[in-house]
Amino acid sequence: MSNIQLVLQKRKRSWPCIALLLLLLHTGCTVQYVAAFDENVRDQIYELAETVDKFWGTMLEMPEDEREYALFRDQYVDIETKLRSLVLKNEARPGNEESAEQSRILLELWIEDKDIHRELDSFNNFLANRHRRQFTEVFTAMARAEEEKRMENL
Amino acid sequence: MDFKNVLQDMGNAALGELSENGGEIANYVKQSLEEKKASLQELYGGYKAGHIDEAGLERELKRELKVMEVKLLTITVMKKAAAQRAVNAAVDVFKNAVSAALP
Repeated sequence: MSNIQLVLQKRKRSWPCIALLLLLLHTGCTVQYVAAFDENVRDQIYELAETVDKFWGTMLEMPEDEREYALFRDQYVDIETKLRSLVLKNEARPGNEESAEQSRILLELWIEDKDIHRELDSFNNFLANRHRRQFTEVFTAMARAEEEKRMENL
Repeated sequence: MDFKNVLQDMGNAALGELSENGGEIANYVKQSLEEKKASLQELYGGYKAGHIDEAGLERELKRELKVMEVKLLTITVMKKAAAQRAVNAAVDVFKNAVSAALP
């Protein structure tokens, strides 16, 4: 076999490797362990954090003995609806199990507060302050998770 | 293409990303634990002062666990993102080496 034939044979054998490398270079080969960033969800978290914080702030401004459940019922329902919407959006995103679970926990905490308030027909300052802070912690953690996804999509 | 050097560069790129994010994750864990410690101390104080009864204390402890779970889920996302950055940094090094080696 001549030298030229040997070179051609070697090149023929290396074509699959070269094709694979070219494919790797042109498909933008990257791994994806976290869900894609969703700007609307991130904004919804910030808006809900503000709404929920205002809810507690308004409650804390009222004297404890005037905090009847009926005065807050509409706000509970309105916020619950928005939280359910957040759960839905997070559950619908592929690879987003952590944020979906976070939003389900957030909803659980909110429903528990609604039930406590309905049952006691009041809400003392100690609990209102604690729960206000708990929601801030939860929203901050959720926003932080979204920020990690945003960084991955820069 | 010098595979030995390429592999070394890929490892360095991945480790660089992991060490950068490792400190950030550790700080977040530390901050979360400090917040929980303060919160539990306040809870015990509230119970002793009569702001909540025993059933309320139990319910509050369960809520604190749920809040902590949310934070742990964020840590999971941070770890996954760090791993993603590390692997992609290594892949980028490889892609650049292949691009440079191709005629």
